[in-house]
Amino acid sequence: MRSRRLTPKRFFATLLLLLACLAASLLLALAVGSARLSPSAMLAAVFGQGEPEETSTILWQVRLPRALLAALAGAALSCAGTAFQAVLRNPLADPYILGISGGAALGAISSSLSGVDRGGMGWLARPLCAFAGAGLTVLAILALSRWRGVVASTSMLLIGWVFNSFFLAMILFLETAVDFAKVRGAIFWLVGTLAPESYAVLAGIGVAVASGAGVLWLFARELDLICAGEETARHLGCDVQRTRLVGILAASLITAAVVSFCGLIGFVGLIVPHSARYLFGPDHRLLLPASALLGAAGLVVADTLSRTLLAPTEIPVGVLTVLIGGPAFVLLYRRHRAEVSLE
Amino acid sequence: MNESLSMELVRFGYPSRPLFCDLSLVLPGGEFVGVLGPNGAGKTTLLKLLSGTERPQSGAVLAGGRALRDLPARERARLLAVVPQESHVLFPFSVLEVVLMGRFPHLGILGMERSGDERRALECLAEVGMDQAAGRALNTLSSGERQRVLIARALAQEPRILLLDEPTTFLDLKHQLRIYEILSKLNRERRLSILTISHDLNLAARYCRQLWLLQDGRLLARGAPEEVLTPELIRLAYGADVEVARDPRFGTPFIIPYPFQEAGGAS
Repeated sequence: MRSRRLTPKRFFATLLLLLACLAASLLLALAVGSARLSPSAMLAAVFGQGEPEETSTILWQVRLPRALLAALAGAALSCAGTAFQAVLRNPLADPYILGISGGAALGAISSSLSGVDRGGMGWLARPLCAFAGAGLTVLAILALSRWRGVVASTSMLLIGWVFNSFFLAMILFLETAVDFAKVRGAIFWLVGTLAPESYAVLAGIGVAVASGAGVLWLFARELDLICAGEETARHLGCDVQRTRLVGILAASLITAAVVSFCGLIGFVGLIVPHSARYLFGPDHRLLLPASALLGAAGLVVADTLSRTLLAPTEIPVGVLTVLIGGPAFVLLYRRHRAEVSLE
Repeated sequence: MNESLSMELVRFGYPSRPLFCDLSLVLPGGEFVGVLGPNGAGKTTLLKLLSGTERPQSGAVLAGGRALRDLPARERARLLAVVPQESHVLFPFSVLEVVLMGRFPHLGILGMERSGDERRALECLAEVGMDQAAGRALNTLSSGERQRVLIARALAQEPRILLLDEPTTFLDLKHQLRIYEILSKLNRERRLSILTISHDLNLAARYCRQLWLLQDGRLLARGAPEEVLTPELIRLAYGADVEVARDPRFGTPFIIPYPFQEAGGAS
């Protein structure tokens, strides 16, 4: 049991350990795939000597960008889930379950169907529209589940579920109405898919995720206080309104950044924060970065599995996370039932 | 420093029911006040106004001579701490972690507690006799233990004023006494100003130095326990017949209630 405060020593030791896990998962993702690369061939490719051109292309243009995208997506969704669970005071909150990812996907799709993304803003248009979609969804959920000043967690889950179904139907409807051939594109949004992206796009996502996560971390202590109750947080000197607004905006931003490029990868934001909390405790100053690293490593491994389990066929990684996440949700619901139906 | 907490001509009410009309009150520094009154008299609302959770529709709440609403949140938390009636903490925070939350208004820019903060938190836990439980998860404690931890968290804020909303409601006899003993000690030794809502007239009479009797948003009486706890005032406030005896050991008023005999008077 943690009978001590969070010390810098425990903080850095935990993060170092998780960084090592992430590094190991990235190595695994680089090594495993339809083309089997021996460690020596990989080493040769890394140092750029005497290797076949093909090995180098597979490593640098296919596997690494995809693994990095998986890491970014895992980190972002886990961070967002952790933050949403605190600011919404709902242990079962997750960007996917609450329809926030769905809102982001609908925003992203609207941008490409309306042609905004071929306008002056370039590739930034899609994530910006996704951000608007995610942010509006959270605010709507919060407004709808607040009744007489009290936010009811169960209503929130219900409303989120309805939002999610509605957004998914809208996505299918829009894609079909505009061009039936695009239904395959709609499927991309409905089941999250990871594909190698250019390093420029990866850097863009990375900046969005890092800044969102960084802002969340600055408010980590405030998130702890909100877990102790809204009124209590206020009495302890926390500006609850501002924390909630900043938390929602930052978490929506990182959700949108991921959804714009990967579609809907579900339940990562639920399972990872709970695992991290179990392993490292609920203090958000450690929990946020720990969830991010654990989520990054976790999704890299999940993506590697999705590429290899039924090789040469690929399972979309979003299918895999929901297959694992669904049962996990049921277990977590049983454990947190008292809290969820409390208010 | 002026450590009083006061209300001046406060008007406050809910749409369905006006409650306070130009109410003025002072909690002087170092005082130990018990707020009594029947259900719906406005005790909890009074506490919410004094703690800044609710804002008066007119009039002002002053803390240390300054308007409470103008105090920055952290500064207010260093001056004034609130112990809620019950508090549910999401996720398994340990007792020490919960008490360390009380150090938030004192944290520096980095937002990390130092060893001094931990020592302070453990001292506060020792003060309420809960230092042995520092590593346990708050949600595994009994309500009496949890209430003591919440008091320790309030103490960790190092406030000058402590407000409590019926801290003994869910507690058994032993723990009720224990909480009041702790409050009384803090009031005597640290000159901490305390205002607590209470439903237990006898405990309040024994430990509080001053009692405020509220009814329908009005201050019916205020003064030393023997001045406030008279059969007439209690009948007026609670609509109950009582006999006021004397506590044989402490000499404070002791209330023995009887069923209300006459028609009318009850609210």
